[in-house]
Amino acid sequence: MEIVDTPTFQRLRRIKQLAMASQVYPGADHSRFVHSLGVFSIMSRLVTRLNQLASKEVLVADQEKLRLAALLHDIGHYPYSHLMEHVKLPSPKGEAASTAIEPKGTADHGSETPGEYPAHEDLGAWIIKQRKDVSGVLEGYGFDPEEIGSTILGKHGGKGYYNQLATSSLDVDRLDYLLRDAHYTGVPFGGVDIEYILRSISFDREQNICLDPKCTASAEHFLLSRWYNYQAVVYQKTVMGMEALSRQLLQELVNRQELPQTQEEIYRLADSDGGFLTFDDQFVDSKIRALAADVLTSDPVGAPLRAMAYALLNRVKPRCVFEAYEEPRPHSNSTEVELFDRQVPANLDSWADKFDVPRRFWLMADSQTRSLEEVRRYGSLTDEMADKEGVASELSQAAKKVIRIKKPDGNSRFLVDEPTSLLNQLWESKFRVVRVYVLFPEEVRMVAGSFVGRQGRLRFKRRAQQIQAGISGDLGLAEH
Amino acid sequence: MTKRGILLRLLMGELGVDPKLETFRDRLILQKSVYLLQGLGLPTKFGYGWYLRGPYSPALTRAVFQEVVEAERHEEASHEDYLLASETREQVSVLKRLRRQALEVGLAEDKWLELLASMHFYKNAMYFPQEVSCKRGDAKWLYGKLPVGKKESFTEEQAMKAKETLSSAGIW
Repeated sequence: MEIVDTPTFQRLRRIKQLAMASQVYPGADHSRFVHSLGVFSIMSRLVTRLNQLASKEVLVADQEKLRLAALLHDIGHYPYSHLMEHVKLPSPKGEAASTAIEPKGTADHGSETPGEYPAHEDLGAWIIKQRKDVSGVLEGYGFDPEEIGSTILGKHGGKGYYNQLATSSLDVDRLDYLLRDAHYTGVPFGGVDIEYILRSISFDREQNICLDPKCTASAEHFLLSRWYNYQAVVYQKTVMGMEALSRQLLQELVNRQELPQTQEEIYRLADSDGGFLTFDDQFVDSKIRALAADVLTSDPVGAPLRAMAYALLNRVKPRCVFEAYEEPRPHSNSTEVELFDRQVPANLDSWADKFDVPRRFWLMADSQTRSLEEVRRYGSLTDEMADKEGVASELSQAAKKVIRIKKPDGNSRFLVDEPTSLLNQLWESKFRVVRVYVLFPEEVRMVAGSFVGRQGRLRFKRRAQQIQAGISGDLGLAEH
Repeated sequence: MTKRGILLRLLMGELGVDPKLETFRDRLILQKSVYLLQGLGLPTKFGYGWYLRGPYSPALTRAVFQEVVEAERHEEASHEDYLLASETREQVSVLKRLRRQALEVGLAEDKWLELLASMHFYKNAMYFPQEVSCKRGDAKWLYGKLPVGKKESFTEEQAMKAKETLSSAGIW
């Protein structure tokens, strides 16, 4: 409980778990704080189960470390959850491509690819070591903050199963957020038998975490529920649009130097006494509110930013003008999705002119390719591959994240390899949706200026449909 | 352009790919070439997945269109102040040698690159159940696992030749 009472941990009360999902699912206002407690609870039940399986000398000493890692796994989260993590920083990230070229003369004017903030897991591991309120409690009870941080990162060198419990298809984080997010959003995909899954966990001969064969159906149900949860919540059309708007706004705030500019600045902030504790959703909200308050100002300087801020605050939705799904069959090549990668970025400037919507109000959103099980993107691990560096090392790590089912001989096999498993038929399925949205600044001003009923906003819906038809024509797509 | 964009532009020049990337053939050659170059040690880290015409990287498409094609449109030529580092030139040289073997198997260069990349991907990155994964070193077995469309486009002999070619370059 002492960890929970630290100001650093209490900060998680002020960071929403699902960022913009509450724009569509009003109940989805739960915080990273309650999610962290949930993960802690699941891990506690899990270690009790594991302790029944193995000798107490092996696991009793580790129980508290696993529970602490679970409790602290999100301690490094940024305001607006994952949305802030991928803003582009003015400072370069020192990429490897620089080593593959050399300047002809003395001039070296090529810019570096923009950097990003540290991943929240990396920041979290750093916070656990550096922030005295957290590290002090850990050390006071004889725990090594660095070891707890390594477990969160899935890089614990000594105990492989630590990493599996922290970062796998069946890890404690996912077990909690699937149920919790379903509860708060109201989507019906959370009815997974978590208790049965926890009771069915054991070790194989190589100390990999695996499930009893009787739990196969529950494990399949979990993976399928997660799949549908992505589609219903995370990549829901309005949620995705509002998150694209949020990202654009956060990027603008970085560009205006109202948010940290470098990775070093983030670490300095995380090390500061007061600054980090107020680096939460409210910190960003206050900037958005200040901008939105002046939305009707006639000064053209800063007008786009004020419009975006108002739209975000008052749910003036960006409207979808292009949408493409990668086909779920594994060997397809969806032409429309490739168009998104290839032609959409190049056309945005001309479309902005053609359809008379300023370029800054065009937003792109990409779910990236998602799969039912991590194994789809990676090969199976063999000893030969494990000996090689690079790709094989990555494959080796990925193989440890896949759900395993115990066999009668004490070894285990991947769930996707079970001939009777539904996953055996479906594992190749992939999901990717790409969308382009437009925010109409006139709609924002109209909403800000007076109450606008449904009829008033219909014209923007029609305008979006016209843009959609125009884009389809330009890209040579058939009408749907 | 970023240095990554400059690198891609220089590579396109070496590969004989039009920087406007207007044809499907050019886009395919670029995709498969970067895939194989990464296997040879090129330090870019574009992630590839399996698509209809073999390994494909959406991130590479975005990068090249946002940077190189855009620069070409604006007639920006910052890449002319750079050249490839010696190690990269060596990697490209190996790739060119692999490409030339298209003649020996009676395939156009773009089709040959597609086969090379596809066999490499199946060998090194494609998922197979654990019980049969040990067979992935057997090129004949791998050829049998290719999608029907690939088997219609390429013969088993050509697939064996692809394996030999990749082995000779040390990336099988």
